Amino acid sequence: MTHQRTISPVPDRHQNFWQLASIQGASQSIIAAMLGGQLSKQYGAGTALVAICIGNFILWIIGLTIISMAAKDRKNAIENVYKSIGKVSGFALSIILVIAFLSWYMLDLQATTVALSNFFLHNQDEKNVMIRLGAVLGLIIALVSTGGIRFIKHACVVVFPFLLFFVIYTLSTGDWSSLSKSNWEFSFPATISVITLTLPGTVNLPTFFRHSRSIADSILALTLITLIYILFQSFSIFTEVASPSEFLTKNVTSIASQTYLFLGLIFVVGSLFCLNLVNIYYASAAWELIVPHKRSPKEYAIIGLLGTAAYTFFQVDFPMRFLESIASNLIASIGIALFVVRLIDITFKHLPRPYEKMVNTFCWSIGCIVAIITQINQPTEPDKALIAGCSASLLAFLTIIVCEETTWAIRKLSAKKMSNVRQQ
Amino acid sequence: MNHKTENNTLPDIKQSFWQLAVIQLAGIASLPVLASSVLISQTTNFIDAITTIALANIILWIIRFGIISMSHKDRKSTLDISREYFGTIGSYFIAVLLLASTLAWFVAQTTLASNALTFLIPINVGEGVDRFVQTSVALGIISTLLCMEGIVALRWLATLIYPFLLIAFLGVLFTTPKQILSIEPVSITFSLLPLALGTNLGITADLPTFFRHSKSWKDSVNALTILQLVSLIIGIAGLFLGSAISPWLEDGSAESFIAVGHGQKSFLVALIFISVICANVSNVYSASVGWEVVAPTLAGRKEYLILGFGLTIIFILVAHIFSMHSLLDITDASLINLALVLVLGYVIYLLTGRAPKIREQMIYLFAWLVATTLNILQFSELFAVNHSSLFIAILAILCTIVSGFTIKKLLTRTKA
Repeated sequence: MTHQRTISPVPDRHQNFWQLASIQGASQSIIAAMLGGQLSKQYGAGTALVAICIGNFILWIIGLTIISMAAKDRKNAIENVYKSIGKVSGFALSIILVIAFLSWYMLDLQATTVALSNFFLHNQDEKNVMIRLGAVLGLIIALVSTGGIRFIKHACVVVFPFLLFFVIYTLSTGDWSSLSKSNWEFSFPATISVITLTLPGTVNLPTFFRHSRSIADSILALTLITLIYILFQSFSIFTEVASPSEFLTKNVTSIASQTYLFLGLIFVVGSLFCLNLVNIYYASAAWELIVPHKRSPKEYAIIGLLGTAAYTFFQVDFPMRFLESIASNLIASIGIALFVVRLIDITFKHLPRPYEKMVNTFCWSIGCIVAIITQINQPTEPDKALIAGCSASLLAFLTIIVCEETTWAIRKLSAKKMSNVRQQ
Repeated sequence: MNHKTENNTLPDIKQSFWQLAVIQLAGIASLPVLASSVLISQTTNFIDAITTIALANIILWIIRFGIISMSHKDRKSTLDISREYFGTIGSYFIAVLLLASTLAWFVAQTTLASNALTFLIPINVGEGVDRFVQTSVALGIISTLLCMEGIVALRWLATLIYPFLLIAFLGVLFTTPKQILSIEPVSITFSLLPLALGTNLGITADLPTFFRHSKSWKDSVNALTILQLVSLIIGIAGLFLGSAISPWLEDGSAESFIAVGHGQKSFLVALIFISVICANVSNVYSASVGWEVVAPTLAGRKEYLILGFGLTIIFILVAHIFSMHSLLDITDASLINLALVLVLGYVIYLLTGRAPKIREQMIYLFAWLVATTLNILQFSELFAVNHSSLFIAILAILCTIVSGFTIKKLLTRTKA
């Protein structure tokens, strides 16, 4: 792999597989941990575990495709999309990513403050204290994010072992009986839920993997990340925790103890801290395209400040969750679109595709429109919107590929016939 | 130590007289001028108020002229001058003082503005959400965003925004029912001179930090003259506003605010919002010279980021929980004492023709410490006297310096 970059040099290009995996593991741990509990409540422990394993292996394939597309020139997520799907889509995705960031940052801060107030205040009605606490946390994260990728790497490498220890401790003291009582079935909706949760993060992987030491480190990190996700998503099956505040509620599980609560506190605060640091860095890639500038700590501070402002002013829960679902679905559907684009590149090498970027943009746009309409009609079921959007994109790709292939075949045969006639 | 960027050069050293003046007027000078004028209007007659304000501005011009003369030669900041007159250990005191003063002003001003804006912009944001917290966070975030680029951004901000600030002030002036001060009795007592000087002297010690960016000595003097003339006009105009504007200049609760018309409301919102943002950005820049002594490795943009974020975080945590009044009084008095000691030191330097040596630095530092300690005792009511804190400070400084120099001379003669 050749590591070249003409615009501005990528800093910290020697991250090994453990550092790359720690960043993703530490930042996604709390989101992953909540999924297991939610799936277990809905489908049962065995089905949830099957869905987690299958979903994560599918994500591994999509992740591999995306990082291999971006590895050559150390592109970030937006540059990767820019190259494959075009300028317009790249710009649109930047704006979507910034909107998604604002909602993620806001919702993560909200989750942290609810969890902390549950633990310390025992009264969730103290909204003003929570707003102050959230704003302070948001500002602290924005300030430390000015340390850039190096600080994020160090923070995640330090925090991740504690998070892992909490998971192992919970698993070792957990009640495994629910697993033996449960059915072991494959559930398509459960698998889709697993994919939906991490797909936006997978699309954004190049932003972090451009700092990789080598392609081997990247692939090993991706495998490690998959295993970490499976572990984190599985562990809450036994605790049935479905929200961050439940980690710190004393009566949530039979294993509740002072040690558990202390470790739980570290887990919630540590993981949400890393998650927001990583979110700022994700958004910085989009920011670079919207406002072209020299890379500096100031951009991270501005993004963090915008996130904190969003948290402070948009305290109404539903509209932000709705917006977050739409933005996440659109980012996830670009992941599917990139996967298909890569497959087309590999499979249809013989096919000249002069309007490739336009076609790709069109197909992704169809998916986006369908996803948004489905989300508006069924606002409480974002998974359905993702399935509908991705299906529409795939259908559009298939239709165009069939047309392109058929047209190419007819042209080829006509050309051959003409040359035969000329020869005769 | 000069406040320099990472490559050790002072940035933005071509500021014109207008830029220098508007930075002061938009950032720091307007609110204290207005506040002292309102206080004066409440306790005296019209003629006495005008003569007091005029005399205060003349005295301030002289003191400020002395301070900027000290700093002009090597583009010294307040801290550089402090090091020259107080020694290295003394400069640490001043660095901490600058940081504490900035913290107190940042918290007090943003609390004041948040209170007023929450009252003036009544938007229903949902049950249980405190709009004061939201307004405070917004003001803190905007201040942090604007202070990231240091003096360059401050210059741009002040130059662009000052006309709007002036329009807002004129708008408030014309839409507020005028309070006519009594002409009788026609007596000139200057009894409120310490008040007028006290509220404006605090910022004087900070002037070198801003004036070292001046293009030339002429620009500095012109800027100072404009600053004093505009302060005089604002001060006299403030006399007509009186009690109509005083609730907005104090850290009052919603109950103390008064109902205002739509026109006046818009001008008040603009005046308060612009003033507080400019004041916060200026304060952060002023504190940055202190920060460089406390944490020299984190200089440049990092220090503005840390100061901006740090002050906003502290403000969000303490606003409406802890009062900053005591800290504000103490830091203000300490800054006034600093300005007085520095001016006296400069006069002695002009008379003797040589820079202060270690013993003299110790005398100046001791004089500042004595005056500040007496002021603190006075504020905490442990030292009860009928005179103003400014009078006590001047007396303490003069006594300490005269005694110090006399003892020093006696010791030198004994040794000889």
